[in-house]
Amino acid sequence: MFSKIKSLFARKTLQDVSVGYSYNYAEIKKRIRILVIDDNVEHFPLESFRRDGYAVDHWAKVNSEDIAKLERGDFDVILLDIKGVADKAVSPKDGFGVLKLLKTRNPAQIVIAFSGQSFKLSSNEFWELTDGYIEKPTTFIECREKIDEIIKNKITISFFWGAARKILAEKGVSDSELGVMEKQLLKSIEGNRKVDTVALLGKISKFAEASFYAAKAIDKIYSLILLLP
Amino acid sequence: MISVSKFIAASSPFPIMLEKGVVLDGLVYSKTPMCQSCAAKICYAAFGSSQNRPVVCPNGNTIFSFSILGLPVLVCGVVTDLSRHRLDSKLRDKFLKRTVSSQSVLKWISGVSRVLQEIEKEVHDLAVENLEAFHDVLPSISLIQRDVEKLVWREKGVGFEQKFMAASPEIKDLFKSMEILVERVNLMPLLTNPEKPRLGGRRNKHIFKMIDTLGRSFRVLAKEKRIKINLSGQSHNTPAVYGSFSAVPFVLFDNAIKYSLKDQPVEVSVNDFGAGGVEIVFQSYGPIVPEDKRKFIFDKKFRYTPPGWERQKGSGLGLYIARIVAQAHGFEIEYTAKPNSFHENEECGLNIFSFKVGG
Repeated sequence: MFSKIKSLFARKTLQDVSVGYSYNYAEIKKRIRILVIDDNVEHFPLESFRRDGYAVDHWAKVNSEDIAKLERGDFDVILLDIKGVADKAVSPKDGFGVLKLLKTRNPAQIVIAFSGQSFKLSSNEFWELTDGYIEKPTTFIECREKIDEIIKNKITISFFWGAARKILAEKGVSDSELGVMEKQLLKSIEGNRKVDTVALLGKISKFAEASFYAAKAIDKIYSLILLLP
Repeated sequence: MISVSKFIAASSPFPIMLEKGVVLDGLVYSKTPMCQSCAAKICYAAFGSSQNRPVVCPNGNTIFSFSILGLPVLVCGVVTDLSRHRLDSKLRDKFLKRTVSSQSVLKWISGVSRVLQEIEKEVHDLAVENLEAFHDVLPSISLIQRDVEKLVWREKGVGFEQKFMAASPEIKDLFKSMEILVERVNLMPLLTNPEKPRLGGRRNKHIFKMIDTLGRSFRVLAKEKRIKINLSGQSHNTPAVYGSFSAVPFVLFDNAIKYSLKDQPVEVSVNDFGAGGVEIVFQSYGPIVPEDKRKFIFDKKFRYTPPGWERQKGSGLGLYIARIVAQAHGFEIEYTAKPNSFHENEECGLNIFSFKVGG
């Protein structure tokens, strides 16, 4: 009884709302761009995913020119191998170095560990930094199930808002300003006022101008809002 | 696997307790007469406590409690410079030459811990090295898996699932066999990486669905022995489990089919229990493990080979892996057996493995 009363007065957050909404996942799956970075193309069921309607790219390696594309957030989900994917010039620590770079610069970038190295204690740090892991070898069914699960859990308004909020806070936007933004965003989403939400995101983007990555995260929220029923 | 306790028992110069209540004489020093006649048994309480400082017992013995590779060890029943003052003057004189320097005990403890840790690290590194070599097989497995998927895509239907349903029994069996091979390969890292069972954090999983999918894959292996896999129960709970969880039902399915008699069913029931938990029970008919051996069945490399089953191959690692994963989740797998439930052969009966997750 007490917990029911408590829940009535508890402050709602963006997380509560996002969880309550059913996104159009079929649409999301069609629109998201997946990148697989692995020196052996056969490890990932690329053809099966493409035939199943996913937009998947494959790179055998990350070159220095490619880093900019990764940092830009061109890909919604990256599956990253730990070994043999980056030259020493790009990353002396191979896949681990690429992962650290991505996660440090862009917390909204979803990276899935894709490796057969889980037998090594030394590779645990790699696995822990990622948003999920898929072991090699893998089957199409298993791989798809895991990627779909990660999409459902991560490609959400609350995930991208969390990332944007973190970046904006680092850029000096105060907690109270962020709180006000979140409250307004919450209100317009709950009220199903898409036009207001888009305008609000435009305002937040002005704050985000100081950060390319925060702006990218806001863009993702915008795309998801459009997919809400 | 090195038996740490056997090594310590065989090499300790001092009286040693490796099992509560059992003090073994050392190679150089036997336990003191005061120790043998002691009623207080303070050392029993100290066993497993891994205290940093030696403790002096009322009988004038010194107790050193520590652990080596997780095994509790107690040096006790020995008079040292720290406890000699507790003895009366007669005993003090008697033990003058038998008094051990506490520093020498501590030095021995430190030395044997270091050596055993180094040996364990070498064994572990060797296992990792072997897995590295095995790792070269992964590209071939992936290649075969991709080709099998291509075969399915050639079938009629819309989407992979429909095409799979339309595929020939041979292609379906091949696909399922590959699923089992892939899952089996992915069990190996659980042996060498102690963090592996918990990697990736917990996620809510529909356990009934998972076990149903696994069961369908295992029907390929079960076919040869004309074993039917029956799944029953009502379960909608989705407890939070690690990615490694599937290793437990995988091993139990594998075990059940391996040691089942031909033409007998493997019954698996999955039911909700408690608040959000799931109870899983595997039952199969075959040779049962004798009572005196049951406590070892989850130990690494333990294999009980029933008479007449000598040709049945196994590594003795399956149930050990299942236990590692169960421990990471905080549950235990129970094994019981009902002898002679249906078969005239006394060594056969109903094998029952059960566990509860979540709740």
